[in-house]
Parts: sequence; C-alpha cells; structure tokens
Amino acid sequence: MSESTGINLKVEENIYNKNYTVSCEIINIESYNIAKPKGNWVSEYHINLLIPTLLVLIGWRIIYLNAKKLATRSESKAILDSIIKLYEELDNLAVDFWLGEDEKQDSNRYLMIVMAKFETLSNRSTDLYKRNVNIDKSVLNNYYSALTLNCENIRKMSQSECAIYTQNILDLSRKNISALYENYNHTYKPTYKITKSFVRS
Amino acid sequence: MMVIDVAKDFSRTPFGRYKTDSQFSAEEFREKLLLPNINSGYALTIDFSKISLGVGSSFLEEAFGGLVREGIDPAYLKSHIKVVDRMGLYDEQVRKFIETASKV
Repeated sequence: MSESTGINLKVEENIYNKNYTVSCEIINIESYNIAKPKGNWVSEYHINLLIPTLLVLIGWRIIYLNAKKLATRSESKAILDSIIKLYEELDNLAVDFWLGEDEKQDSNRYLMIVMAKFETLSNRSTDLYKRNVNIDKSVLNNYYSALTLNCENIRKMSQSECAIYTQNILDLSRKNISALYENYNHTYKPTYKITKSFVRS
Repeated sequence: MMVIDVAKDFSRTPFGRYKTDSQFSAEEFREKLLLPNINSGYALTIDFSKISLGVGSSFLEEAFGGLVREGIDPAYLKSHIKVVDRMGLYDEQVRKFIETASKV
C-alpha cells in the first residue's frame, strides 16, 4: 500500500483558444507495508474461526452432561422403585406369615422366600449405593432380623406376640422407605425452585 | 487365621435353631464347628458366602449368641470372629447377637 503525501497542481490557461491545461505533479511518495508483527501467529482470521468453534464444543459438552445426568436420575429412580416394590412384597409375606392362618405358617417356606427376596433387595440397594444414594446397611440388618428372628417358634407364640413382630417389621419397612426417598432427593435434588423463579420472572 | 467354609465344611442349606428343627441346625453347627475351633487362639473367619440363599437370624443368634451362653467371653468372640456373606450383613448381626446375649 502506498500513499502520496505531496501534490503540486498546476493549471495553465491558453489565452488564444481559452483552453485550460491541468498538470499534477506528485512530489513525495511514502510507501510502507502492513506486515504481521513478528512472533504473533494469531490473526483476526484465526480468532474468528476458533471462538465460535470453542463455543459450539462447550455447548455440546453442557448438553451431553445434562442429558447424562437426567438419564442417570431416571435409572436410579427405576432401581429405587424396584426396591420399594420388594419391601412391599416382604411386608405382605410377613403379614401373611405372622398373622395368617395356620396353613400359611410354614417357617421353612417363609424363610426361603424371604431370604431370596431379601438377597435381591440387598443387591438392588448396593446398586443404588454405587449411584451415590447413601444407604445405611444397618437398617437392612435390622429389617432382616425383624423378618426372620424366631420365625420357627411361631406356633409357640401368642397372637399378640405375633402382632408385635408384625408391627415391628412394618415400622422398620416404612422407615427404610422414607430414608431411601430422602437420600434419593438429597442426591438428585428436585428443581421446582428454579422453575418457580423462572415463571415469576 | 482359620477359615470355616460353611457350605463345604457343614452344609449348603443350614437351617433351624435346634437339632430338632433340622439336621444342619445352628446348635449342630456350634457344637461341631465353632466350639472346637474358637479357643484355638486364632482369628476365625466363618464364610457363609457359598451357601444357597442364606440363613435366618435365628440360626445366627443360636450359633453365636449360644457361644456366649456356653461361657465364651463376648469380647474375645468379637475380636476373634469375622463373618463373611454375600450381602455383607451377617457380621454386624452376629456382633449384635453376641452383645445381646452378653447382657442376658
């Protein structure tokens, strides 16, 4: 790129034919180049290309992480629901056994079914624990004890003793379920507050 | 350290509290396997992980709580016994039963 800095303009008049002659003389020309500053590889072109690309990548990452979080939450909820169902099945078994008719008070059969379901419950609880939903193992212990301790002596027990056993089982079951929901909500916090503030604004 | 593999050394289906309940009852288990080995001075690991299903709380209470009733020191039992199972629940249960039996 070059730029003239000095111009000499001369206009001559021909008195005979009334013509004008314009002559222009460039006195000084300074030329200079716009060169890349040495040591700087980032040009406007690179910046215009890099920044939008980075923003897109960041956006994708955010969307991916959010989708992953939602999927994990759904899976954990499904496991939690299956645990609740197992608790209800065990409670029904316990009520049928401890308060049911004589034919249903076969302790061998009761123990087998309870142990099978309880092992599934324990495995599901471990799965949920791996997903950061804290589970206190001692509550499972207490529930297992309540379900199975002295079940072989049922025929020697009075109806009121059996009722006490059943109440204890159901009480522990409800407490465990409440604790599970609480821990689940602690890990996967509900977002209703954000929704409310969004609607108000 | 000594290891008692319940499935291999006793039964894959231990059940019941007393000998009248079953051939492989807690009473039988305690007399046949626990009592002979408990005073050896070695740490004792009782492995229930290979039995089918599991054992009821009555079995654990009779087997280990019964040791306290037989005169074994509860503190010695707690320090020398470890119970292993698939669910990771029996050890805490056994300790609770030892504690309860020591208070009676």
